Amino acid sequence: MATRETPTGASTTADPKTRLLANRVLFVIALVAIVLGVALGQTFITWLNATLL
Amino acid sequence: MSRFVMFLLTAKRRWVQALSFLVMNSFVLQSLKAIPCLGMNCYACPGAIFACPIGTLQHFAIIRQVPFYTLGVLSLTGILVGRLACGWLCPFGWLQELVYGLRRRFRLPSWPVSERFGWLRYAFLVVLVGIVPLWTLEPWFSKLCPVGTVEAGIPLILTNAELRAQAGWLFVLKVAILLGFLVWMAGTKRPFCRFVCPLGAIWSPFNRLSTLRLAVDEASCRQCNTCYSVCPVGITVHEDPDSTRCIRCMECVKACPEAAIRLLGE
Repeated sequence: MATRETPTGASTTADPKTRLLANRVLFVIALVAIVLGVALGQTFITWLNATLL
Repeated sequence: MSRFVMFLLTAKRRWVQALSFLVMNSFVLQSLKAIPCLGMNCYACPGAIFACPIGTLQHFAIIRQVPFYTLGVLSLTGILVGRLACGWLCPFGWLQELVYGLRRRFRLPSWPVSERFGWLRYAFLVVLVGIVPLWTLEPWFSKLCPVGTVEAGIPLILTNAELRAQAGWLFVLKVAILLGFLVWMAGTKRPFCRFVCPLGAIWSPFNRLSTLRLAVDEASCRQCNTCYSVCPVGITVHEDPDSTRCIRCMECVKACPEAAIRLLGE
């Protein structure tokens, strides 16, 4: 992924097309993960946090 | 998206944060606990209606399954709006801003902490939310989480005599951690979000790719650092508008005297 250095040394995405493509691809992957999770019954959370004390 | 952008630029964020806290702990629609909470709000709070995503991730580490659903929901949120939920919905973020606000009122000194330690939040995510629960079969982040202490641990201890009798060294440790954070947040901008929060760590990388993002018009920007002074997490926005620390609160957009910072929702 194309990046440029900012004055603070942090890298940022420079190429809008690459950014848009990554955004779209990750969007689809996230949707697939949600569908897969629902299919596997992961929305029914049985865990209760009884260990808080 | 443009209506949503307009809402972000015109709404009173403090009121949205307060409303979010009330809704997340409204004790209605308990069936919503199947949905990960978009913010640090303890699952064990008697009034909580959503599931703590960090508690859920630890649960799946313990039962050795990949948490597709929770990761999918968190990723989808991050891709669309980055860390926006940290700035607008998270009750613990709201608490940190309220406590930091007291500093001005009581003229307390500020304690800036170098961003060099920002990597710590990723370490907390990997070690305390991933590796340690996988290894010990115990959700150690939740056991020590200051959000759990303030929203669930202390209220339950105060209202339940049986639990009060069982409280031991772990509860004392939890309260000590909470007090430490309360003191820290009085002098440092959102220290939990910047250095500890594993939920923020999950959303942070998405700031570079999210649909909703900030952009700086370099021709208009005079580098007056107004953005830095109003930013609740201490970002010099004109240097790094896509910062992984940005919580999309829009304070810089509203405060910029040159209107050089824009909110984009492509």
